[in-house]
Amino acid sequence: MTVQQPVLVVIDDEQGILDVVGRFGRRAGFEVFTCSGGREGLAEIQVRRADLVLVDLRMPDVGGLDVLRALREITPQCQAVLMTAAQRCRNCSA
Amino acid sequence: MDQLKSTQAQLLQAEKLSAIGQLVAGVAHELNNPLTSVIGYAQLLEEEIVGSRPAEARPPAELAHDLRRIAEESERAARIVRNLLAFARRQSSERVTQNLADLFARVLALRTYEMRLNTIELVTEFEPGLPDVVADGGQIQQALLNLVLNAERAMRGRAGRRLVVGARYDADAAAVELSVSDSGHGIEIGNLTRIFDPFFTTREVGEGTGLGLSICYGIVRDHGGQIQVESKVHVGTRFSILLPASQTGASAMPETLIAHADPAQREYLTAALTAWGYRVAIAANSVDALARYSRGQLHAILADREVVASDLPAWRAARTADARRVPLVLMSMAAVEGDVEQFGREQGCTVLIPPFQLRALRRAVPSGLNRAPAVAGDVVEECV
Repeated sequence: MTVQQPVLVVIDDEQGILDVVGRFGRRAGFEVFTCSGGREGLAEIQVRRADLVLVDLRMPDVGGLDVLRALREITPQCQAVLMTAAQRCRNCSA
Repeated sequence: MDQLKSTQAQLLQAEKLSAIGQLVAGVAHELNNPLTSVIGYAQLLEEEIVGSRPAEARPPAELAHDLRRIAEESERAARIVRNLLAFARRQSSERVTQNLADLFARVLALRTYEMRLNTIELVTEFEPGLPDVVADGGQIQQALLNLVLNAERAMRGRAGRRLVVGARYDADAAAVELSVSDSGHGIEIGNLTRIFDPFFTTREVGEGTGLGLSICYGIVRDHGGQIQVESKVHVGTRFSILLPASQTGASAMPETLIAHADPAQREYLTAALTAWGYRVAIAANSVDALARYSRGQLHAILADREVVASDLPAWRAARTADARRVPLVLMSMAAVEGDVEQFGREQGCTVLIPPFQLRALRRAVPSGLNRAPAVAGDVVEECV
């Protein structure tokens, strides 16, 4: 019997973070898809039924909050983690 | 005067701290990215090497890749800190030869990351082979950072954010021009004449000190330069700073005498001429000016009309006695037409009408060894 791996989508414009988080995800047993920006992330969550999304808050094209809002529409049950270096985040109730 | 200088220095430092405050939030975020990668790669390697995950043991080349990434990201973090420290440290106010394009690039390095996150297109137009300028690098960086931060702020919430920064040589002014153009909201025409005034701000209380641009103005004037602004509401704003560049052979010439009663004008003229490389002699009144004139060995004289007016007969006598006809540049308001102006015409003086632009001053001061002004009797009246 084939056990389906949970799907993790990592969205970050920093290549190093994308690489590291992706590898931790694989070690944790996820099937990992990485996206190097918010726009690419939005496209990915449309076609991929993610179980968990890790997304950076600040990205040049589309920010993490916009990705999360879209995610709530597309896959309400998906867990999401907003990654940020900022100490405080305004409007983080998405 | 010492107390005034000390207060100015304190204001300069206070404004610099304010700029650093604006920088720090962005830099902290920028710094966390490479640090997160370093920590992540190190943890991945530790797990593999210690052997908690022997099944995932990878060939040495792959491990070396991760180690290289740690080194690269550490270097990136160090560079970010270096850039910030280079700006933040209390520098001696020494004037040394500076490559302004390099200086500008270091300022931009502090903001590139934030600009990328805020989708600001940064366009740099640096002319190659710019002449060096003798300047206080820390102060010029502070002025440029201020203009860049203002430009970023002016573009907040606007579409098509574009920042164009330039460095070019202005041959007419014998100066390097540094410019910052944004596609921001622009400045209302009624505010344009006030933006360099201390404590003038259009921002909300707590959003700015209102000192930024006045301090830029002070820094630039202190270097004998000129700062200008052009703006169109809803289109954008362009600031330009002109800093005089050293002129070949200027230091080999005899002294140029600056005779002006106003200390601020004397300081400005001295700064500009010194930056071009001229040696200057200074006089605050007619007696001192004529005493220096009588000793001879002058390249040129820049005299304010009031200095000449205070003892016109003595100036007539001095000119008569001057067989070498040292070029005399008369600084006089266009509206005034009196004995001094008549004297100026008789003497074939170049007339410089305040407030004058740097290129007008450049044109008025004889540059060559032949000591001839641009055109004897010329009226140079490029008002700001």
